[in-house]
Amino acid sequence: MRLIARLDIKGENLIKGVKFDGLKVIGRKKKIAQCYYREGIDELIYVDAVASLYSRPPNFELVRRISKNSFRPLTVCGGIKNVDDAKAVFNNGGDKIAINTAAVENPGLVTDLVKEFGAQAVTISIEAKKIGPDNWEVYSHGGREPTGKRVIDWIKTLDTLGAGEILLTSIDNDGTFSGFDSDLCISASKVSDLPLVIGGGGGSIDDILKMTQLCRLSGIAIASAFHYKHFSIADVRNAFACINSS
Amino acid sequence: MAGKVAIINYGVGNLYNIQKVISYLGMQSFLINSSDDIQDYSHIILPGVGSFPTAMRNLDKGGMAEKIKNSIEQGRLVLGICLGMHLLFEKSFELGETKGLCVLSGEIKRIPKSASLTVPNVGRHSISPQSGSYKYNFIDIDIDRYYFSHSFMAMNVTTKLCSHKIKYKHLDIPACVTNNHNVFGVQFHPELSGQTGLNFLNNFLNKSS
Repeated sequence: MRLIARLDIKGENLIKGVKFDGLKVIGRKKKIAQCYYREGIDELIYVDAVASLYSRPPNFELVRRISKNSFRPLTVCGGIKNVDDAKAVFNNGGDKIAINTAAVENPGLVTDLVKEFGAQAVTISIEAKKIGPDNWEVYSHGGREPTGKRVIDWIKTLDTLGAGEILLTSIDNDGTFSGFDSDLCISASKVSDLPLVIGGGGGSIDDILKMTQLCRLSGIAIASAFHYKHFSIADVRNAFACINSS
Repeated sequence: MAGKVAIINYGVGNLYNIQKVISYLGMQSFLINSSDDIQDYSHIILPGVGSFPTAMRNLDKGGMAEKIKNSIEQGRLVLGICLGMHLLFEKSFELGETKGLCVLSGEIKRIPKSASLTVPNVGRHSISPQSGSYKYNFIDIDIDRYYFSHSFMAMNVTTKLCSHKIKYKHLDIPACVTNNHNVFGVQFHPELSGQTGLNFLNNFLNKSS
């Protein structure tokens, strides 16, 4: 199981909201990325929280600075609209790209990106909002715009388009520390063999352990709980070590 | 001619990270295009980006495939990373069948479909040394967790060539291969494996042929 720290960025700052809203500044991000790298994180995800909203590409200079002394995979998400944007991410130290809005607007882009860079470099980010029992809708533009797509159908489509990985975030649970949306994650893990990374709501180590037992996961993304030091990367590792040795 | 590192450019981008690591380790690396000469380099890295057919087409175009094979015969050190490791074998079935550099015997196929296997295989794995195989005799290789990200793997590899494997659920996947002399291939990405990966690359780059 990959443990991933998610860094949401606006301008020069690391930010975090609750349910993708009320974004608060937490600090400068370069230091935090270095800090998580040194503490032994498996991967980092850098999310430009407002790039798609303002229709601009990711800040490539920032990508370069974040990746400089970090020797772990870095996924860059937010504002990537075409093959050229993706190329610029890779040339500045990103290892993977994640797209949401651009994939929703133009699903053919997923196939184009996979052909150019390989499936392992192309993650699709899905922002999911619950709209009924066992029913979630895909949102775009940083959790602001409903798209009319059902999450489970969208995952099946992405599988046929050749995507390399799914980053699935629950808008309802994001930033609440109330645990992951387990129904959402279980449903998603059943419809596709793609690597699935879940996020949104992870507030305790028990939340993480519970999800790894409930469904087939490739990774778990944690933002607030790391930023606000509810637990550390080492705490998660120790908990897994205890389980594996017992 | 110690310490001059060539990174072979297949023309599909993203060589920044491997260059970044080498410069972090205090050495200089040079991006080498197919038409360039590689006589002056002590260490040759075949990086892990792109697809097999595109990379081979590019290597064949400028005569680079022959130049690499000649360098290997002259005893210069070669490290293939992920796709770069795949290129060392006889052929690959990625996007159709393509002939490889034929330095090592074996072939590249997709990770077999199975209910319990997620493909691509993304994540960190510990590697296990294999008995009866060649060793990475002059590189200290840690069995610690390295970062893997791949949909294709080496198969039908001659037993002695494969020094380490990983267990991906029920499947054994070759992680490290060598010709017992100067050619090394790793399925993982040392440049994305934290300190363990830095140590591995540092050992390779400080070895003189």
